[in-house]
Amino acid sequence: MVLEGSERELVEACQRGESEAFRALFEIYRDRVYSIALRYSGNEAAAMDIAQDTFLKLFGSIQHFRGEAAFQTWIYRLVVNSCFDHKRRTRRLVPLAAGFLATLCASADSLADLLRSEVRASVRSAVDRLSPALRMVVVLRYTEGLSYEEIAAVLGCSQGTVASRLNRAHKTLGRRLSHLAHMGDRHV
Amino acid sequence: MSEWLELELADRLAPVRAPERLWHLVQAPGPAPARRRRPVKALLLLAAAGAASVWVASAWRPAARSAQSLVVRINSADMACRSCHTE
Repeated sequence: MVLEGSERELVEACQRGESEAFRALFEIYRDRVYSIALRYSGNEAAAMDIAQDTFLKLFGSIQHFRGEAAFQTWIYRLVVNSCFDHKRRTRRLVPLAAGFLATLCASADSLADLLRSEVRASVRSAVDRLSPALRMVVVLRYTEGLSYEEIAAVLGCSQGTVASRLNRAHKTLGRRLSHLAHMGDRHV
Repeated sequence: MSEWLELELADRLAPVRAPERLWHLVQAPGPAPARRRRPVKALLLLAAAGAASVWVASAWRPAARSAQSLVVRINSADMACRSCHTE
């Protein structure tokens, strides 16, 4: 198996059905799984659904893990598939409305806070409006800090495809957020 | 891509801590969706109904045929009577 020593033992213990091992594995990956789900969906409730679905699939199918790929890659694939499945199942509410609500809810004690919350909402909204394929590449890159090679392994595509998608995402985001660039220059 | 956008993305998409209740959700998932069952009963009923209708049709065929011949006989007798009476 392509696993570090302790993780390999953990996976083998899970395959034997040891409940403590499941909990330990959950603790290792919970934040990573939830972060990808949250950054992809932009919604806490959806992120909980996706994370739950991912861990249920993980525990249900860990018997079939043979170690051909890195275990981390395998988990990332599960969460990516859960994200795409969730998107297919539920139509997204208008992301702009979510951004607007976030702006309303943000504390506006000062002008700087207000501008900061506007930037945050705009970036969130711009990312939300990317196509699922582009958004997932952006999330894996910026949330998890994966390399092109790792992203390609998770998504089952070439590194060239990953580079192309990231490039398109950057261009799209740059275009949509160009009006905020001057705020960034002023370090708001 | 501008450095500003790169920093914003790294900041806005930074990892977060999962809520504690996630473990409880994983341990006690909601009700599983109802499994789609094969309609065995419906198929058996359909097959039985088909067989029954074929049997009924074949059983009634001789009776229907005899009723038809009776009608033909009556009609021919009626024609015969008419031909006598008209003469």
